[in-house]
Formats: sequence, C-alpha cells, structure tokens
Amino acid sequence: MNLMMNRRRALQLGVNALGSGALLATLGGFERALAASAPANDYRALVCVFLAGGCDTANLVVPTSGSVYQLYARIRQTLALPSIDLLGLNSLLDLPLLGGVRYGLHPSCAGLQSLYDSGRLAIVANTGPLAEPLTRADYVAGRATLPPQLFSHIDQQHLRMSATADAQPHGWAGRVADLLAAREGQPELAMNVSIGGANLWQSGAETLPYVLSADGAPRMRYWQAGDSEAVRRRQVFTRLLDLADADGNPLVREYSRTQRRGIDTAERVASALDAVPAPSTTFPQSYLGKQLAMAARLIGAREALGVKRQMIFVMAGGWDTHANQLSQQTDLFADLSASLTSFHRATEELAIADSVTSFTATDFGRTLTRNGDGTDHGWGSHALVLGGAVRGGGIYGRMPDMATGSADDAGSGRIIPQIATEQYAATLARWFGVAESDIDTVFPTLGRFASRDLGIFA
Amino acid sequence: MAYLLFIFAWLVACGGGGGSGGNADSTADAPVDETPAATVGEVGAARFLDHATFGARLDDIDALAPASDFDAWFAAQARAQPCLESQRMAATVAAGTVAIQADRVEAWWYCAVRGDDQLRQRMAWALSQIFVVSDQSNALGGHADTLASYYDMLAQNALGNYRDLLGAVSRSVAMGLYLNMFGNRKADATLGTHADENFARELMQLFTVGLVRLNADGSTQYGADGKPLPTYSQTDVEQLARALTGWGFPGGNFVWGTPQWTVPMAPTDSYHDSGAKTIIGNTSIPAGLGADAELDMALDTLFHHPNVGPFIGRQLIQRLVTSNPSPAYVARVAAAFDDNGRGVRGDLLAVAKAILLDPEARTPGTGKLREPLLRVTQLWRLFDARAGDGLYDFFLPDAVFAQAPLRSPSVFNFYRPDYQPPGELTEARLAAPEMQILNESTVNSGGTALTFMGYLWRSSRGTSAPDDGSITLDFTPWEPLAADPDALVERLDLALTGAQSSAAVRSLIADYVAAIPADQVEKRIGDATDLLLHAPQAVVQR
Repeated sequence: MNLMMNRRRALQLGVNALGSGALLATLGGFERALAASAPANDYRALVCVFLAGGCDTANLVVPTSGSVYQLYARIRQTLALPSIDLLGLNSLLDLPLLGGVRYGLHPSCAGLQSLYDSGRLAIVANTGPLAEPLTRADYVAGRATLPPQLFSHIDQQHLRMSATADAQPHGWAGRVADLLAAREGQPELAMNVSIGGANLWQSGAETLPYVLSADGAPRMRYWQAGDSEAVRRRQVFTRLLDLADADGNPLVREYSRTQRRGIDTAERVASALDAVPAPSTTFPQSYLGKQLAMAARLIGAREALGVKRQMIFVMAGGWDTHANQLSQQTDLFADLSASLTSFHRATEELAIADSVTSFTATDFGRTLTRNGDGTDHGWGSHALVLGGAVRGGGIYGRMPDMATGSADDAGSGRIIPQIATEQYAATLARWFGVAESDIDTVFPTLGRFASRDLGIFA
Repeated sequence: MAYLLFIFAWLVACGGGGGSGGNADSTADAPVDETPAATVGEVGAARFLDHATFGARLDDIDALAPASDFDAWFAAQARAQPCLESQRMAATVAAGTVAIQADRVEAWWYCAVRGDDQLRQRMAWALSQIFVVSDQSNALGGHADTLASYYDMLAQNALGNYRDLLGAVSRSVAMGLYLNMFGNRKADATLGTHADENFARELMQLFTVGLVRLNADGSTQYGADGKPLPTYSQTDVEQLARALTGWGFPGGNFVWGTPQWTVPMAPTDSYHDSGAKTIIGNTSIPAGLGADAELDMALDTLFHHPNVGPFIGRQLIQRLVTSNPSPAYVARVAAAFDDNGRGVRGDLLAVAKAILLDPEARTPGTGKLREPLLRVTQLWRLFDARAGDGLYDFFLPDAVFAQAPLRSPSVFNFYRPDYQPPGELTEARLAAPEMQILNESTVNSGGTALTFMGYLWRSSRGTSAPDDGSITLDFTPWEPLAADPDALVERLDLALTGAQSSAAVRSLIADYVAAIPADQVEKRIGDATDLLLHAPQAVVQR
C-alpha cells in the first residue's frame, strides 16, 4: 500500500517537475506569468488555518519512542498524554533529521493520522519567528538579535503573518497578491479571500482581501425592501457613495470603497456560490468546520468566479490554554482534525486536491512546563501542511530536544525555533506560483537562513 | 474653570462649532476671554452629545445648547443613578429562571438607550473594550450574572478612580476566570510547575502600561539602537505572576469553596507564593506580605507608571472622539490623568472631561468610524425606540455587526487601537480600529440590519401589541417636519451627525424625500433617516 502510494506520488511529482518547473526556469517574468495562467486546469489555492491564541503543538505531535517520550513526560508531568493513547505515525519518507524517533498524534486526531499515513499530510517541526539563526548560548548571553515582543499574542501573530521579524506593514499573502497582480494584472475578484475576518496575512500594499462570512456573502438588501421607491433609493444611495469617494476625509473614502466592494462582490460571489452545488462531504458544525466548508464551496465555484489563484484565510480561536488544557485540547484537536479532514475530502470530491494546500499557523507554541493544569506563551511550534501536492507522511525539520535546559530551550520549555517563519512561508508561496526570482522580493529576510525551501513539495 | 473659559472663547472664535474652517493650532494665540457663558450652539451641543452619550436627542441638544454649561452637565452625569444590568435582569428575568447572555445583552441595550447616566454608560462601554472579558470563553458563557455584575462594576467605577477600577477588575470573578488569575497557584518545584502568566502579562500589556515606554504624548521611546524601549521583560511577567497566585472563591478553600459568581475573589494563603519578588521597574515585593497586599502593591506600582496616562488616555480618546489624536491631545489627556487639578491621579471623570472638552474634540476633524452598536443606539435614542413588551431583544448583534457587549473573540477586543485597514489608510499610517470589523460582509449585513431597524420597523408607537417584541421608532415628534424635506433632513443631520454632512448629501436626500407624496409622512421620515444612516459621511463621526 505504502509502496504504491510512493510510486504514485513519485510519478505525479515527476510530471509536475517536467510540466512546470523545468519549463518555467527557462522563461522570463512575462512569459512565466503567461505560462502560469495559460493552462485551463491551472488553479491553485493556499488555505491558511490560523489557530488563534497559541496552539500547544507539543501535545499535537508527541514522541512515542521510549527515551524521548520519557523526556516529554518528565517536563509535561500531568499534561503529558499517555503514550498508549497516542496515534502512531507511519512515516513514508526517510527524512534525515527525524532520526530513529517515532512520533504520534493527539488521540483526537484520527483523521490527521490517516492523512499522514496516506502521504497527504506533512508536519513542519518547530517553526517560528527568528531575526537570525539563533543558539541557546547566544540567547542566554543576550548577544543575539531577537524578534520584537516575543510571547505577546498580537505581536507574534503579526510576525507569523508577515513572515519576517523586521518591521513590515503587510502580510506575506498580501505581498504575494501584490506581486502576482503586478505581473498578471488585478483579478476581478480579490486573490485573497478571508472567511475568518480581517487579518494581517492578506493585507497588501496594492491588493485587498475580500472578506466573506462563514455563511456566505451577505447581500446588501437595502434596496430590496420591495417598495415602490427601492430603485430610486438605490440610485440615491449610489450617488451618496459617489459623494463619499470625493470626500476630503480618508475614513469616509475607505468606508465608501468597502461598501462598493461589498455590493459588487456580494452579488457576484453569492451568484457564483449559488450556481455550483456545495460538496456533499460533511463538515463539523464548529466555526472552523463552517469556514472550511465555505472555503471548499469557494474552490468549487472557482470557474464561476473566474479565479486561478486563491489564498483563503480561516481562523479558529480558543487555543490559549492557560488552564484546563487537557480537557480543552481534546475538543480543539478533534475539531481541527475533523475539519481539516473534511476539507481535504471535499477537495478530493471536487477533483482539485492536487491544487489545494492547506496549512496551519498560530501565535506561538506554548511552554513545555506547566502552570498547574495549563501552559503559558512559548515560541516555536509545529505546523501541518495538507494537500494532494504535499509530499506527506514525513516530519520536515528537526524536532526539539525536550529536556529542561536543552540546546532548544529558551527557558521554561519555550522552544527556540529551528525553521524561520519566512522559510516556511516561502516554501508555500513557491508552490503557489511565486517564481524563484521573485521569492526574495516577497521574503526579503529569507537570505538570512540557510535553506530556501523545506522540500515539502519537492 | 479657566480652562473651560478658554474653550468657550475658542469655540466662539470658530463660529460656534459650525463645522468649517479653523483648526486647533489657530487658537493658540486666541486671547482668553473673561466673559463667561459663551455658548456652543446646537451644532456644538449635538457634536458633544454624539461623543459623550449613546446618541444625541433633540431634547438634550435643546437643553445643553442655550447655556452650554458643561460643568453642570458633567456634574449631573456624575450624580445620575447608575443604570445597572443586574437590576434590569432582576426585573426582566422571571423569578426562578437562570439569566442567560441574551438577558444580559438586553440589559445592555436598555441602559445604553434609556439610562440617564449616559456619560457613565459610555465610559463603561469604552472601558469594557480595554478591560476585555467575553462570554465567548467557555468559563464565562454560562454565567451571564457574572458578566452583568462585571459590567456593573465597570459602570460604577467609570467616573471614579482608575486605581479602584484596577483593583475591582483584578479581583473580579469574571476577569479571574477569563485570564486565569482564578486558580493561579504558586510554583511547585517537585511537580515542575510555574505560576500562570496570563493575567500578569495582560495586566501590563493591555490594562496599564503597554509593551513599550511612552512619552507623555503617547509617542514611543527609542533606545540608542533605534529600537523601542520595552516596558517590562519576560522575567517581570514571571515575577508578577508569582505575586498574583492564590486567588479563588472567598472562604479559604481556593477554587473548591462555595461558588460565588458575583462577589470578588479572595486569596487562600496556602496557594499563594509568599516569597519575595521583584516586579516591573525593579520594585521589590518583600516576602510574606500576603496575596491581598501584594496585589495592591503590584497595582499601585503599575498605576503610578508614567505610561498609564498616555496609554489608557489615548485608547479612551479613540473610543470617544477620534482614531488618530494628535500627540498634543494625548498629552493634555495624560496630564489630566496624572493630576485632576487637585493633586489626584487617575480621576476618570477628569479624564472624560479632558477628552470631551478638548479643542481637538470640539472641532470637527478626521474623527472615527462609528462603532456598529453606536449606530443602533443613536437611532433608537433619537426616535425613542420601544417594543410592545418593553424589551430590547436584539441579543445577537454580533451576527450582523461583529460586535456585541462583552462578546469579543479575544482579550484583544473587537479591534486593536492601532489597526490600519490595508490600502490608503495603511499607506497614510492612519489608524481606524473600528474598520477591523468592517468588511465586505459586515458592511452589507450591518447595513441591511440597520435598514430593517430604521426603515422596515418604523411603525409608530401604539401599533404594537403588548407582547410584541418588535422594537419600533416613534416618528410622532418629527411628523410636522415631514412637510419640509430640507428642514427634515437638516434636523436629522443635526442629531445623527452633529450637522457634519455636506450640503450635497443633504440636498440629495432632501430631493429624494420631496418626491415622496407629502401624505406619506412616515415614509418621508423613515427614508430620510435610513439614507442618512447609511451615508459614509454620516457613518464616520467627525
């Protein structure tokens, strides 16, 4: 079974390499852009699943091998998951940094276990914001440059979303959309769609995200009151927006623009969504499940929407587990696993799974030590990358040493990241369609780190 | 007093707040007029009430404008009996029935729309967006009583002293459960546990000093390396967390005592870390002081930090007046926080006065986007909205507006103070916090909801049955104006925007109204209101 899976994957990867990479490498930017948009089936979606509050990924991916599990159990104490309950992972890939250690997932994550074992899900070990490669010695001696405001929710969310520790007003998806819009022209519908509300990840200098609710695109029913004045009222309202566009107050202009986008795109998106049947795959009725169900519907409606590239943001809260962590994690991870699994199944149902990659991000990992029945704000965290194009069934990067005071410990089990946020993001952006020659434009601090690509999509 | 005279004189010089021309700088050389009782006119009164209350009403404008006696207005507001959610819920929730969050939200609407203590309620609402707790938390979702008493505590302290407020917030069960000071216990070396850092961190980051050192005008202090100077370190968080251990239900049984959901937490010594600590600013807390005294010492230390005035003052300005106050405005408010004129630090009534009477508030400027809930309250107050059953049963406003009282998705409120929407405002470095919840979806869902409230639910008072939950507007006082579209729109614009819409906006709406047959009085009033409420020029409060 595994062998067949690997053969199939290898064939697929070979086709991909010949079909795009080798060819594109020989072309200039304009031709690349044309080539990228030419094939009728050329569609790609990146879906960011943001786990707001700081996900304790140390209890998501847990060592099962005896001696390493003992280190985990020692530092986690009552928060340690029993070894026997962990869902063992059968790694398909021979990734050197994994060594001989075996890992398992939180017992609530049967769906994710299955996706990993079938090569659809990859784990990225210990990623997080870094200003430069960092050792514990430099950190403890205070001679290293650090990302600003470590351990603060909002600031660390921004660093994860901007994919740099340097000052940066825009998110990396916003910058990718800016770049592709400059290359290929602005798409009619925003390349960035958020179902989880405003976020920095999708904020660009030139491009704006479109924000959709988990229930769809609410229409402005202002002129649908059904009375005789409705048409005239709409005309007056439109002229009010015209006046607002010319107003001297930038807040008035911004509101007007948002209202216009709301009117124009709601009609369009709602019609497109209505025109295509929703995938029959069932989703959890959680907020995350509903958002991912809407993401699947958006992807299903890609042709009606006329889009080739989409970056979609969904968000799930509740991960700031300062207290009652074990009980909360049972529900949180169950929801994450079931929602992601449903989403992947829906993309398979839509026969688009190879063109859709979803990935997780979070404020930070949490302390390995406890405050009682919870944990505090940490630093590095593991991430999940899921999709038909993913070289799954492996853990990319080196899992941290969980011994107190180890080379990975910044104190209290706050783990120093080994993979910088920009390395993780650049890997995803490259798959999405950013040319190698443009990668450093989007990720100007990537050059501070040795590896430019994690090899997830190799 | 001289300060107020200065403002009055300045307002007169600027044409009674009439809207156009003039800016704060031009007043610097204005002579201080010794003649008292300059008036701000009805436009000035309307703009002031738009900032200081949940919506200007014609009667209130008429009462304030002639004498423009702001001292008397503030004094009356400080004296007004607080409208309390727990009292409202006691009246609306049947005996023997457990109050739910819907009852609490109804009580919030009631106090916002009908409370006589408008300034207190408005400040409480602003403070609830700084000292955030939320019914979205698992621990609080089932405790509407706890959240109502928390909001009442904010209201009762809203015009009091910030230090008292800090103490009441820190000891509240609601905050205790939300940020885990409830049940926070001392470190145990054997078990390898440390104190919970959640409340300690946010107490500093969000409720008192913020992340970086500030100048008195709210600007950031930078070190020689060009980087902002941090206010505290991770070690300071860990040390403060130790000082905040031991709190649970009263009775000495920590978290296992008899649950008391509406009274302050109390410490249990055996769970408190009694060792010495060194907290922010190298402040030493000696060993053995006890949890209660340590909390007070920590709060005193934070309260006296020079950041608090500009850090909290700026956010209150943003909630009441403008998203982008000038540094000088922040400095004036911070000065009022530091000293109310009688040597008292943290006097919130003095802070509210300084914010609301500042020349930068009393002159139209860039302003801010109206919060969605305030768009509803201003409509309901202007037209004295009531339902047949006497309730304000609009308990899921977050479904359309992404905002509801004590229902933020996280401790970081519905929006961040420094949020800049992508595009023109980010490029111009202008903050617009409320735009974090304004997007292509909420602009439509919220706009549609307002249409339902203002337009479709316009039936006049008396038409709804006693058990009818529809909240209807009373147009009766406006009916005489309906015959004169220009006058109607001008009057609406006075109340809803402080007369800040342009002549072009007003005439556009008036022309539309004029084409509605004159005998359709309600339609004329309802449509004019609806159009104005949806005009971007009116959604932005200038």
